[in-house]
Order: sequence, then structure tokens, then C-alpha cells
Amino acid sequence: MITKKICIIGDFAVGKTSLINRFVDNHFSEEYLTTVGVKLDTKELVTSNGTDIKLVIWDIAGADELTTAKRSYIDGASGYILVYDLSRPKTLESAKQIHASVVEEIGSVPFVLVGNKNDLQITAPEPDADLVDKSCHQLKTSALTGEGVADTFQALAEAVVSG
Amino acid sequence: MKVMTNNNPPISDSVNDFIIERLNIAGFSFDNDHLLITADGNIEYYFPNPNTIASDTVASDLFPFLVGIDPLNEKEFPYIEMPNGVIVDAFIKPTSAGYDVVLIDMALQRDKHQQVQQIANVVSLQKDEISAENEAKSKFISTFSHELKTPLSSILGYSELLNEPDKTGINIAANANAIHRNGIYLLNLINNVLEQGRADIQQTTITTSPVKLSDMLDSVSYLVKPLADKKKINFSIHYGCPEDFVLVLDEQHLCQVLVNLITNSIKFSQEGFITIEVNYKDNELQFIVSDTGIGIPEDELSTIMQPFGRAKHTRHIEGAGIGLSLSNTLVKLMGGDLSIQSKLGEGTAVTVTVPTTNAVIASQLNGDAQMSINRQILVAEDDEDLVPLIAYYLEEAGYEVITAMSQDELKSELESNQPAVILMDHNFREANGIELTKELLDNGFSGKIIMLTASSGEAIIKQAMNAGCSDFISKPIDREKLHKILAKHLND
Repeated sequence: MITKKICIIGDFAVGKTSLINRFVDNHFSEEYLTTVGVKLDTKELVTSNGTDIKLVIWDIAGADELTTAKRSYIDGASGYILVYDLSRPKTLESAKQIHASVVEEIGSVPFVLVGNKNDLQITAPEPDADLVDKSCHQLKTSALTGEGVADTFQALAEAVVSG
Repeated sequence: MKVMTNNNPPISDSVNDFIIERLNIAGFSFDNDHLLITADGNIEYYFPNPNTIASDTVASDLFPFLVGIDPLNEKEFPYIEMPNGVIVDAFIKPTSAGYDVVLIDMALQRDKHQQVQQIANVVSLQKDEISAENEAKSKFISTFSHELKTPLSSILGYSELLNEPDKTGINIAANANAIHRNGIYLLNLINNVLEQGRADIQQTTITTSPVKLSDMLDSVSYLVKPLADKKKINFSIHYGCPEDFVLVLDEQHLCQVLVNLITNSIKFSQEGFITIEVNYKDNELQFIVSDTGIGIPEDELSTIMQPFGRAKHTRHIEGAGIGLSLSNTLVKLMGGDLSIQSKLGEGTAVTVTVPTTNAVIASQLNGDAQMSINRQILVAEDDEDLVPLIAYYLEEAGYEVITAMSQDELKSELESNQPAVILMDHNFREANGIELTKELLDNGFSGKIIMLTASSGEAIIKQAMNAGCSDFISKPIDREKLHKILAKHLND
């Protein structure tokens, strides 16, 4: 079994913690509780080529950019999930800024671009082709219904393993 | 004053113990192979059964936050919530043998910080919501103004033409039709906006009454067929159930939904056909409005269901983007469902299903109800332009009309006539139509009183019905609706 660190990042209230809760515990809560600092979780997966992988998932508090303290959280990540809220267009702008900060901090590692809250009215535009091209996958998810959640983590695990 | 003697333990020992206890500090030393060498401090706080920690435990098994990082560089991770729920600040410091990991309990501080951050985030989200609402309102005003100006320009232009002293070469009927068509469009638009406003503040009331299916669809057809004819689009209604079924429905709102759906079909079709398929099964009435129009891309189906939502490829076509969203709201309020199937470039089918009661055949209701009917109508209205128009509508339908433009005239007419119906203006010159209704009924008037009102407020309609009115008609007066309501009450 290999163990890899991945991070989930994005603006506040885009549903990062909810995505992890859905993936790790298959649970969803309507209540919004902001994350401060970072919350760690672990989950084991098997990739399509049969590799057992344990993901150490860093749920990093949301912000429109990475502060100095948060940059330390990113250190050593093998990949990340970049989340925006499909019902709040400005969170896609934040995602672009956060992505730029991450690349500056740790260079290019695989990431999955996720538009979350697909159960709500979509008002965010389609992401720039440039950002989509850089991502290893682009998915629409709903932590509420579970749509696309497992696929997101699986896609990142595959990308991390294949290097 | 403190006295130090050689027998006292160093004060730093007590201070250290105190700090370790209060902050739950624990330190763990690892060698360069990441194996545990020693641990010290309040280890029990983090690992309730520290004896289970073997001396050669791998660092990342104890502390998952070490996965992926190089511990030989000094690091600090504030506010880490570990998988077991403990919240720490973690410090990693290189040593000559490897590195140390020092944990400090931060549960209390993190909780306080979280409370403050929670408020800040919620306020920020609310600010964004308000800003989005304001943006939507501005967009609405701009779209609505445009939508009002276009038909108004036509009405003003054509009515100016009709006022020309020399009418040679002017097609009067065509101009009058254009004015009428644009007037209907404006009325529909205003009704939709008002209805949406009422629905937004949960003031829409669903009022059901027995309705003959073909009568309802004839009214819808009367409004939309001229629009389809103008674009040479074939419009037809197909009944999958008897046309003269009588069902208990909210006719006003259901008509509004069907008119909205069909006018959308007309708007987004250049040729071909539009059909309404009507089915009834298991106490559910279903309408399928199909067209051969431009269609809607699948990824925009949810957008167009929102108020003012327009598909990108339709933005050059007139329309406020309110009809479909309002129709969806109204159908939901009626306890029904609205769904769309569409193919870009091929057409769209909107299915509306509403619950209703057991259908009965109309002819079985009033088999021999055609008796001698009093067809005298008294129009109590003070608008001198409106009175002749209403009188014209009534006379063409075979009613006998008497008019009263003041309270005195009304009382005088009632001394010599017994009208079957009084059409009572809500604001009747010096009197309040509702008060007047009560007074007439108290004084023994045995006919029916129908309120004419320019207000669309539910409250006024309720007051009128409570005062004893049998029905109400909204202004501007729709000829078909007027005929229909009178027929309904005179046949009762």
C-alpha cells in the first residue's frame, strides 16, 4: 500500500468538507460549519491497475487566496482537488487565483477541477479552457446527492499513482 | 518574598510541568529513518493508551500530516484537526538524530476562531446574495422596460394611423388587429410579472371551480391562434379524452400556464406546427405542448426554468424570460409537475400534469337546463370610455344592457328593472363597490353581482366575495372571459 497526501482547496463555503464527508463517511449535513485551519482524513482506494493507495486528505480552510500559513499545508501534496461552487460565479475566479498560488508553491502536480453543488441552479460560467486543460479531470459534483464525488477522488488517485 | 535554598527543586521544573499540563504539550523524537526514539510530555492526551506505541513506530503512522513532507526542514502547521478529532498546532524541528514533533492542544483557541470566522463567512455569503438579488432586479427593470416599449410603440403607431383624417389606403382591420395583438401581449406580460411577484411572496391562491375542458382550451386558442397564424405556424389541439369533460381546476392559472407555453413555442418557431395534446387518466389532467422550433441545449434546460433565464441562442428574440419559470411555479402550486424534453434544432415538448377530480361529461350535468333566462345586465361603471365598450361586448352576445354611471342612476334603474346580473365597478364614482354590493343584497336584490376591478390584489377579491359578489372580472376586460363568466352565472 502506498500512502499519498492530497489536498482539497477552494473558496469558503464551496462544499469542500461536505465532499470529503460524502466520500469518507457517505454522510451529508445541510448545516454550514466553516473550517478553520485544516482537517485531516484518510481513505483507502484501489486504482484501475490494482494499486492499493491510502489517501491522506487535507481539507484546507477556504479563502480566495492562499495565505502564508496555508501555503505550508500544501507542501508535499501529490495532487489536489480544486473546488468551486456552480451557484456562485465568483468562486470560480477564486479557484483560478488559488490554482496560481498552488503552482507557485509546489509546482505542477495533478489536480481535478470540480464544480460542486450541481443540485442547485447553475450560475457559474464554464471554466476557462486553459484551466480545464491543465486539470487531469473536470467534474460536476453534488455532495448532497453524491453525484460525481467518488469519481473525483478516484480520478485524482489514478492520476497520482500514474505519476 | 521567596527564599531559595539548595534543597528546593529548580523553579523551571514546576513551570514546565504547569505549561505541559495546561497546554497538553507532547514531544516525539524520530530518527532519520522516521522511527520513534522517545516521547515526553502529556502523551496520554493524544494517545489515551500510550503503552501501545512501540518504540519503532513509523512517524507517519502516528502523525498522518507528516506524509509527503520533508521533516528535516523546520515546519509549523497551525490548527490541524487530526482524524481522531484532536486539534493541535504541530511543530517539526530537525535534531542531530533526526527530528522532533511537538504538539500543542489548540481545541479551545480553534473553536473561538471558528465562531468568529463562521460569522464573517455567513455575513459575506449574505452580502453576495443581496448583491445578486440587486443585479437581478436591475436586469429585470431593463428587460421589462424593453418588453413594454416594443408593443407600446406598435399600439401608439397603429392608433395614430387610425386617427389620420384621410384613411385612404389604410387597412383599418389590420391596424386594429395589430393594436389588439400588442395589447394582449402587454396584458399577458403584466399579468405574468404580477403573478411572479405574488408567487415570490407566497400570495398566489389556487382557486378551483368546475371547468369544461373545451371551453378552457377555446379561450386559450382565442388568444394564441392569431399569433401562430401570423407566422403561418399550424396550431392544433388534440383531445385524448372527451372534449366536454368537466373537471375541477384553477382555470385562470392553468390558462396562464398554457398561454405562456404556447406563446413561447410560437416565439421560438419559424415554421411547422404547434400542438396541444390533452389527456386525462387517474384523476390527472395532462397537457403536452409540442413545437417544431429551435429547441434548447440540454445544459441550458435548468437555466431557462429560472426567472429571466434565457437560452444563449435565443437572446436575439424578444421576451423577458419569465413565462416558463412562472408556469413552473404555478404548476407546482397546483400540486402538479412541469417537465421539458427538447432537441436543439428539432423542437421542444413541455409536459404539464395537474391533479384534478373525477371528470364528468358536461352534457350529463345540465340536460334540460335551457329554460327561459333573464338576460338583462346592469353595468354600474363610471368610466365613460369603458361603458360603451362593455355594452357593445354584451349586446353582441345577445344580452340586454342597461347602464348606470352614478349611485343615483343605479338606484333609479333598479326601481324599474330586475337585471339578472349587475357588473359593479369596484371604485364606482362616489361609492365603494363592495359597500354598495352589501347594501343592494341587504335590500333584497335577488340577481347576481359581479365585481369589475382593476386591482389584481387577492385581498380585494376576497372582500368582494365576502360581501356577496358571485364572481369578479379583472380590467382590462377580456371579451371572451366576460361572456364566459356571464354564461356560467346565468346558467347556474
